[in-house]
Amino acid sequence: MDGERQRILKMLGEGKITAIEAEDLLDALGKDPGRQATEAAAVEPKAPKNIKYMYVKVLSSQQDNVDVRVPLGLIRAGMRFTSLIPPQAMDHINSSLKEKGMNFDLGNIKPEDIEELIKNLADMEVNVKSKNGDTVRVYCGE
Amino acid sequence: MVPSVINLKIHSGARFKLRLWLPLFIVWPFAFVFLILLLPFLVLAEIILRLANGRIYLFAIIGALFSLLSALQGLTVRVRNEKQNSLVDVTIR
Repeated sequence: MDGERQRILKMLGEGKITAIEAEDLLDALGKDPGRQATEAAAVEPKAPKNIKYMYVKVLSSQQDNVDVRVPLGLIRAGMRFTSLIPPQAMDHINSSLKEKGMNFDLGNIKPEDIEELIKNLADMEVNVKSKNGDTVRVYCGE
Repeated sequence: MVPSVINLKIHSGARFKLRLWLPLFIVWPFAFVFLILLLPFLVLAEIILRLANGRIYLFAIIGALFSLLSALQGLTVRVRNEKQNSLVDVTIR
């Protein structure tokens, strides 16, 4: 392994690769199976969060503040309506989605998929900061 | 659980202040009785719709609307401008 490291450093010294490429290669070398197993063991398993709400916070430079807290149950309730959409309308929705590059059938979304989606929303966070100082933050929490 | 209270706060400067507390828990028993009274007509409408079209499920729509209403509990929308001292706050509990 040390030989490979030396070779990367030598290539960097000779200018054959950039510092960033060398760093990537060294990182890749460092992630050998034994080390990965040690790293995985060191990381404690995360307790699943019981998220209930989606928060949207907007702070504008004009001092307009918007705080919205949306219960995630609304997603579940909203999805119940998909089963009530008439087939013609569903075809139209699906073809429109396909035109926009989203190739999936709305009617095929199962309750388990929604639960999985909601579970994974716990890790989602969107932060937007504009040049004029406006900020938008979207995240999920309890 | 269906929402029991809606709190509405509107402030506009120091001049206008509105604070409403809407007790929905008073409305639900009446709505329930109204629904019971409507039930024979709803059943009739469901039968007619099934025979005519076969794709519109009235009771499924009512169920979905009820679950949507229940899911609204906890919704909060708050918009305020500190410069103008204005606030609009809607909370469903």
